[in-house]
Amino acid sequence: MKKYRFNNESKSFDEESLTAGRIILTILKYCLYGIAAAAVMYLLFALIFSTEREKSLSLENEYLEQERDKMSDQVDLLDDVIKNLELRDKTIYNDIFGMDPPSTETFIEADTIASDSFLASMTDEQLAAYTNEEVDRAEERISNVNRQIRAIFQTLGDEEFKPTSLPSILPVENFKLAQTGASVGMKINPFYKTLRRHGGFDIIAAVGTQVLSTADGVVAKIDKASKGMGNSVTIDHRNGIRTIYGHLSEIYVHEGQNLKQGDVIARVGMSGTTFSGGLHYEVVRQGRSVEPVNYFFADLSPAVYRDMVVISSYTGQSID
Amino acid sequence: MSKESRYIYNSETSSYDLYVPSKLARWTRFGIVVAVGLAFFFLYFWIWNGVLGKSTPKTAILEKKNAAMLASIADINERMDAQNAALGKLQERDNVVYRSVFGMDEVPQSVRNAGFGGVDRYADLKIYMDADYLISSRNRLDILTKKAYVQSLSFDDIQALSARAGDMANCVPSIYPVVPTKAMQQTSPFGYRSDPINGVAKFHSGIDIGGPKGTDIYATGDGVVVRVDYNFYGYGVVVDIDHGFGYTTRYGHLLGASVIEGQRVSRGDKIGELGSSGRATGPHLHYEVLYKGNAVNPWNFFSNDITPEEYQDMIAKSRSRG
Repeated sequence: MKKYRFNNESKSFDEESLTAGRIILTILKYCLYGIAAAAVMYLLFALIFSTEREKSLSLENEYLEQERDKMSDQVDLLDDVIKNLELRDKTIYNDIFGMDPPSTETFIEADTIASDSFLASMTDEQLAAYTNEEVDRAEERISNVNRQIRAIFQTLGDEEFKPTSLPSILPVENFKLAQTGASVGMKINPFYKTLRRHGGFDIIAAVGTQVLSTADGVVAKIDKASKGMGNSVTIDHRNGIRTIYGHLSEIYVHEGQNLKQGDVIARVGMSGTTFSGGLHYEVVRQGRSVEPVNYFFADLSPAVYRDMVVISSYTGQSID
Repeated sequence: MSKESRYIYNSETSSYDLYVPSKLARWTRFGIVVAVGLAFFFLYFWIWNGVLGKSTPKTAILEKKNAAMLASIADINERMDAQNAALGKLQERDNVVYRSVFGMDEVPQSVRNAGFGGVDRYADLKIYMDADYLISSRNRLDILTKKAYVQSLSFDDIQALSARAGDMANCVPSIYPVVPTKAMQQTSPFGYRSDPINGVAKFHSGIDIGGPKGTDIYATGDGVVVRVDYNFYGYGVVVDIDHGFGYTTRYGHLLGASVIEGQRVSRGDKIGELGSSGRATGPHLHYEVLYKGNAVNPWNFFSNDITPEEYQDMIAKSRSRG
C-alpha cells in the first residue's frame, strides 16, 4: 500500500519514498524507544526481582548491621570496664607508692595516625587546614631532628671523641626484654618494703652469666663485701663517666687494668644484699647516677628501647 | 511516530484519505518497541555486567552499604587496638609492679590470653563472604573481654592487699629475732655447710644464732602463727609465722612456744624461748625466712642500724600494746 505525504509548497500529494536517511532515522527512533523501554524494564525488574548476588548481599548487610551493633555495644561496655580498671590501677598505685602512676602517653601518642573515618568526616576545607597543620608540625619535627643530627656530626668530628668510650652497650650478652628490671628512681626495697632511691638499673640474669665492660676504660675499684652491692667493679671511662657493676660472683679483672668495650670482666652472682640473682648496673656521670637505659642506644632497636624504658620505669621493686 | 500526517490514495473515490493505522499495526509497532527494549535491556545488562564487569545500580548500592558496614567494623577493630594497648599497660603493671611488690605469683600468660577452644563458637558466621574478618573481629572482642575480666579478678586480689599496703613494711621480717647484743651472734650462716652432727655437706636453709637457754625470741614482723609443732628429729619445738606478702618465718629448737596456732602477732612480740630441742648440738635458735616457699638468706633482711637499745625500746612498746 503506497503512502503519500501532502506537500505544502506544491499543494500536491507526493509519494512517500524510502530514502536511506529516512530508514536510519526510523531505526534510531526505534532504538531510542527501546532504550527507554530497557530503562523502565530494569526499574521494574530491580523492584520485583533480585539477583543471587543481590540476595546474598542484602542478607549479609542485614547481618553485618546486627553484628556491628552488637560489637559496638560490647566495645562500649569494654571501654567502661577498662576505664574502671584504670581507676582501680591508679588507686592501687597510690596505695603503694603514694603517687599517681607514671604516664607513658608520650610514647603512644607519636604512633597515632588519624583514622580514615575521622578524615572522611571532614569537609574539604577542614581537611586542607588539617593537612596544613600536620605538614607544619612535620616540618618542625624535621628541623629539630636536623639540628640534632648536625650536633651529633659535630661531636663525631671531634678528634678525641671515640664512640666506644660511651657505655652504649648492655653489660650482658643476648639480652632479652624480659630481663629488664627496675631503673633509677624511687623503688620499693624488697627487704624492708619501703620506698628507697634506687641508683642503678637491674638486669635479671642467671648466676654465672658473663658481665661485659660497657665502654673503654680502666678498672678504678674492686670491692668485695657481703652487704650492700656485694662484689662490685667500678670502671672509669675517663670522660667523667664511671660504670659500676654489683652483686657479682667471680671477678676477672684487677684494679688499674685497661679495658676495651665488650671485655668480659666478671660473672653475675648473688653477693651482697640482693633479692634474686641479677646484675645491678650503674652509670655515674659527674658524680651523679644517671639513667643507664638512655645509653643503650647502640645495642637496641628503637622499638625494644622504647619497651625497655617503659618496663624499667614501671617496675616498682628493685632487686637490692 | 511522525507528526506529519500521511495519506492513502483511494482509487474508488479518486481522493487522498487520511491514513489511520489499524489496531493490529499499532500493536505490532508496540510489540516491536518492547522487543527491542528487551533486547537492549539484555544487551546492556550483558555489556555492563559481563563485559565491563560492573555492578548494576542496585548491586552497587548494596555493595556500598556493605563496605560501609565493614568500615565501621574496622573502626571497632581500631578501638579494640586502643583497648588492647590500655589493657596491656594494666597487665604489665599488675605483673611487674604489684605482684612483685606483694610477693604474689604472676598470673600466667596462658590464663590471661586464653582463647576459646572446643565448640566452634562462630559457626553461624561461616556462611558470609567476609566470614574470616568477622570471625577474627568477634574472636578478638571475646578475648579482650575475657582479658578485662581476668584483669578485674586480679585487681580484686591486689586491692585486698594494697588496702593495707601501709602495713607491708611492718609485716616483712626485717629485724633480728633476738636482742642484737654481742652475746647473740650468728653461729652458722645460710647456705652450704657441713652438718654439725654427721659432717655431711648440706644446704642450711636458715641461720643459727647461739645464746643462753631461755633467751626471749621475738616475732620479726607482723603476722599470724600458722604452726606450733614439736619434731624430735628436726627443729624440735618450731613456730611458723605467716607474714603475708609471700613471707613466712620459722623459729626452731625452741625451749617452749608462748603463742598458739592462729594467734596474731606483731613485730617484737615474744613467741618463745631459745632452747636446744630437736636435732641440735647446743642451745641455739634456727631462724628461717621463706619467700614464696623458698628459703632465702635472712641476713639480707636485718637492718644494720638498729642498736640493742632501740631493740629493747621496740619490745617494750610491743609489751605495752599487750
